[in-house]
Amino acid sequence: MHSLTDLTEFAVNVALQRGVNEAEAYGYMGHFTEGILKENRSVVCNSHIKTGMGVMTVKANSVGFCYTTQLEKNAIKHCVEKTIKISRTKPPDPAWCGLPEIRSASHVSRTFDPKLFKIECDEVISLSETMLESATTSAQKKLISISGGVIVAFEKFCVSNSTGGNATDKSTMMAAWLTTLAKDGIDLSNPGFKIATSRMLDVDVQSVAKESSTSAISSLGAKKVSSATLPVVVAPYAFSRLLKDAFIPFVCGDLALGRASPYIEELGKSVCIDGLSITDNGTIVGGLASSSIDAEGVATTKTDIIRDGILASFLHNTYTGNRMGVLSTGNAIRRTSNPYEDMSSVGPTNLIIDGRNNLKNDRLLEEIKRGLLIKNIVKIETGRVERVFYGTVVDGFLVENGAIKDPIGNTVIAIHMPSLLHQIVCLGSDCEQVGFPFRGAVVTPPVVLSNVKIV
Amino acid sequence: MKDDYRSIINYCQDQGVHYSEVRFQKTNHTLLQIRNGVLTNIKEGIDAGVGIRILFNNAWSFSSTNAFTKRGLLKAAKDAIRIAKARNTNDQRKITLAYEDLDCETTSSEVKKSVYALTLEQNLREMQRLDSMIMSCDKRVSDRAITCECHDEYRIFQNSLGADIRVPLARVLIRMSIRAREMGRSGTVTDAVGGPPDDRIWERAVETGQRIAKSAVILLGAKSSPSGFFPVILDNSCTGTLVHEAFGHMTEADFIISGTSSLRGMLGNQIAALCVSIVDDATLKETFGYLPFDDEGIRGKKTTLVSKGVLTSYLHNRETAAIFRVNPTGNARAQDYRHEPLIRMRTTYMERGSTSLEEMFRDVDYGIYVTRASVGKANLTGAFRIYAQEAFLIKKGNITEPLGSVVLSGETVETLRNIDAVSKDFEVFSGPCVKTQTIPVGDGGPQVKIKRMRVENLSCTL
Repeated sequence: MHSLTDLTEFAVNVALQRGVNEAEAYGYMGHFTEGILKENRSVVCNSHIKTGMGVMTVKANSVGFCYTTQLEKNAIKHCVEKTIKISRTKPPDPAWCGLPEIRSASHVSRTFDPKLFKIECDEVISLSETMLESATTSAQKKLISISGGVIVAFEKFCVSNSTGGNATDKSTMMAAWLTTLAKDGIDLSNPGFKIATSRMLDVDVQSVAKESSTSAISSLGAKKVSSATLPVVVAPYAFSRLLKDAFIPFVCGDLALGRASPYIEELGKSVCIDGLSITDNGTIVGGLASSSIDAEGVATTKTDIIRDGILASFLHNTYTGNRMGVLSTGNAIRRTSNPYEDMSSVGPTNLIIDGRNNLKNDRLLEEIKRGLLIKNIVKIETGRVERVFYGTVVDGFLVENGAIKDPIGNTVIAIHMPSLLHQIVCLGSDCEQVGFPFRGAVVTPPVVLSNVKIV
Repeated sequence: MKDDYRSIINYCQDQGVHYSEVRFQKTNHTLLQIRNGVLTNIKEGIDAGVGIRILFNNAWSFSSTNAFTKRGLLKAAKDAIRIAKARNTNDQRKITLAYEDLDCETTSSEVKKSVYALTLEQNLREMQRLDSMIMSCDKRVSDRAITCECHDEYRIFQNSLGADIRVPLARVLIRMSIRAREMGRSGTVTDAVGGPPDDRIWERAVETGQRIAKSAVILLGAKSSPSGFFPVILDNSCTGTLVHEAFGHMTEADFIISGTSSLRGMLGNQIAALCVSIVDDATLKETFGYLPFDDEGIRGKKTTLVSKGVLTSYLHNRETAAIFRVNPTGNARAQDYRHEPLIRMRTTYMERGSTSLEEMFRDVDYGIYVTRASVGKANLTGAFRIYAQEAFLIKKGNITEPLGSVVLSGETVETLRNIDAVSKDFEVFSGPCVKTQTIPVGDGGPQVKIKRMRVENLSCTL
């Protein structure tokens, strides 16, 4: 049995022996245990062992990439051969700048919990069943559908490249999520959704159950809001989903390079209200997206994207950083659920939204005569040309004279993505940490957006 | 390899497992992307692994692994049994499974060689030919992005009922996004062509590419759609989205059992107009929903969901079929070996009718012809929205001016009842469907006329 480091070094050496100029291997292994709830009962318990390796080779500036799920030497050799063949098909990239030198990086604490690493499947299942029971008992028999689960993951990855270095990171993660539907007569609620994520064995599944079922029940009697332009208070979970589609891609170096970012000419200029700052920090203790290294082995760090309303930096991996004349910000990511399947691109680690003169969360509604409170939103689509985000509000309320009124349903909002930051008029004081599937997280308070179009 | 899986099944049965199945899947995956004729990305990968699912002590458990050595498989089987034993099994519902005569079927296919016909280089050449054909359509066509994704799979399925099924499955999805520009205006249209990698796939891509290039140019002169309730004619893609998103998910038996679908208890009821029949079909080889066997070993078949407006069936796996005391419909599908099967559609379509397009349009005095569905969203109570990339105003039976993108909304049963004409033409589309897991499906049908439907203008939202 070879270690991930042995196997990634093996892949790099095979590639170099075949005459390539540079090579990189990203090895991955993950172990996942989950207890899944469906149709109001615990239905399936899963255990997955996932392995894979992505190999990149460069010959005369032509880059090839291939992956395999088989971590054994013959399969890796075959993968290297395919990678070299692909690099011959691909035209040279004159901007290719070489692979980064991999150096040792400081360990980020509280990203690995030995208790989670050792957790037994019966404990995971017991947690999911506790969540089910809590939802059932807290909902006064109005819930007709409960689905969700608890997942515990251990992941390890190793990057080796032809500069001679290699680096490894290991982490644990626990998530509990629950979607509930309530019914009262013929009235069906919006889906009540809650997810809680942590690197430690400390997710409170009962609280997840309570918040999910409360959300579903409180949306009974939801009404559609007719077309209008209104101020909207966006809760942290919903705001993180907005940022994911309507902001984060635009500050990533790969989009900026393609000149597809509205911020490309805005460095050093004001892009939002004074006092608003957005920072990417991959080194936060216990951060959901913290890691000692990024997906190409570069040490993670803290990067100010917006400092006091001024655009200060884009996020970069080695390639995009070099193309834009700066160093990597340690933001190389591999986008898919099976990270070995993709070459590195650019993405956030922990994105922290902060402001000056923030209001207490409960005071955000006070100034709103008529508007919405949105707790959860699901993207419908993002218009590529008009750059509009369309999302369905799946958990939201009408706000009148500073007070929460009727729940809303079947309501779609449209936000011009380049204007999102300009629409922020005020921030709350208490932050929540929200993780994205497949890397990245946002730490944000609720925000007030002005002039949101209700379609 | 085959004996290893049988020995794993035997091991599970020896441990007192009620039912066990092993799914091996090996996929060669290729991705090619070109933008404005220039190759921007190529990727290949081999994904191979095994999923083991068992029913033990009234509980399902599932494990997957990439290590399909004897040792790796045994560990995965032991994991599945261990987690099943850890379950609290005081569930009141007793899980039983429906069986079929064909349960012990073994396929004779020993195909191990790739069924995929074109090499990476050939596909790249075809993409570049497609790009130049699109560009030559009109000088206003400015930006083209084309992606070609090929999946070449080999599957082995064995279960404790004796099934031993080996099938190769291959599919290609060619996505195109085309933008036209003129005088500061732009129009963008996207579409995709999918199916098995046969001789026709690139011809179909060229036909579609040229059509959407023309659409992108037409959008340059599009006006804003009026909003409100109108008589509406849906093109084949919008019919497909209506049938799949707004209706099909409501027939999935897991949603019926949980009570979330408002079609619960509606079997035998008239839920659509007499001219409407809807089918979910696993046998159409040219579509993404082609499935010779589902992921519980049930042979692919055609299931009539609506016959002349009457709801006749739900979609089932073995477990829900047993609850409803019907035969499994072969709708248990998993994204891959890492996922347990869920109840999913295959190719879902409305059957063609007898009305010519001329007759259909002739009846509309003032209405909207909605084309090129992009996405559909629906909840299980039947409220749905269909987003379409283009639309046309109909005046006195004639298509007049082009309109920009629109969104259609309505309630599923009410809309199906409001259909008053179904055309003779027929088209099926391929693409992904997401229900926790992502799988390839087909949808489509004829063009349909709906007496009254809500249309909102989307292109000038802000």
